[in-house]
Amino acid sequence: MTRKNFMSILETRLRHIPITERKDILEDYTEHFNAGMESGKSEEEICEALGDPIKIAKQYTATSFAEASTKNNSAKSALKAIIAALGLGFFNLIVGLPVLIFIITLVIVFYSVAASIFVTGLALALCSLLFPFFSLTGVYIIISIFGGIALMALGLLMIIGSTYFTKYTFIGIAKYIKANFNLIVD
Amino acid sequence: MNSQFKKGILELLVLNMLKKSDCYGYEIVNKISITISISEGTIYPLLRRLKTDGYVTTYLSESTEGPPRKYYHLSDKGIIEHDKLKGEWDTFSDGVNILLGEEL
Repeated sequence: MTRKNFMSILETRLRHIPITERKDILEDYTEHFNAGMESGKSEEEICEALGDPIKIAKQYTATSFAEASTKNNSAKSALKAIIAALGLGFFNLIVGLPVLIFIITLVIVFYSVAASIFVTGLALALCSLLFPFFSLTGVYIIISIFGGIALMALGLLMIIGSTYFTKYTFIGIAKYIKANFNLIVD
Repeated sequence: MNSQFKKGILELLVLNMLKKSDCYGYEIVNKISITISISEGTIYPLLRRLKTDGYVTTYLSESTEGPPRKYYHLSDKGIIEHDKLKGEWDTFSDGVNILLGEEL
């Protein structure tokens, strides 16, 4: 591989990283090539010793995302960091991946339960209001309507709770990734 | 050598080099890679991480040939991290050596 090839692959693969950071990284490699060639190595030798530019770019991307996620404090950027780390094989298949799948399933279950409770409440309230069948009378209809509204409120609260749960779990995982980064360099 | 093992120790090696004197990237990469076989490309991401974590600072300095070079300097925080890692490594390697010695 030539120097030009190496640099252009690296640059393309770093496209998800902010421009200032990307420039800075590319400068490091420019300097490395210059210093290496001054000491009499060929472009080919330097590229060989550096290793695969695609892999190198992945490391930067994952670090950058992990960094951003701890700064932004949002579930979205944390998820980005997790996916980038997954791409690097950060979570080993025996322990890490099942735990990750478990957590994601848990998140889905939380949302589903919250949504079902909300929908049940809505149905109860609407049905009691529009079709007072169940031979409900007077005060019972009111109780039933308020019961439905209470369930809707509970559902909403649970959805909000799930959002917080998701956010902090994802941020927690992203922090864990950041703390353990030196383990994934390949 | 096992690659996971090398990775953990790489950080200590870099910090240790910088504890002696400020170095530029190529110097660090070159010195480590002639002693331990490792992809040189793994050291720059590490250096960058060390900088974000505040263990090292960088500055540009003129070189005799060509454009200025980026030098890395170990911060106070980096010295603490170095001493911590060095301590962990010493305990670990002493333990391994004792066990290996017993087998002989």
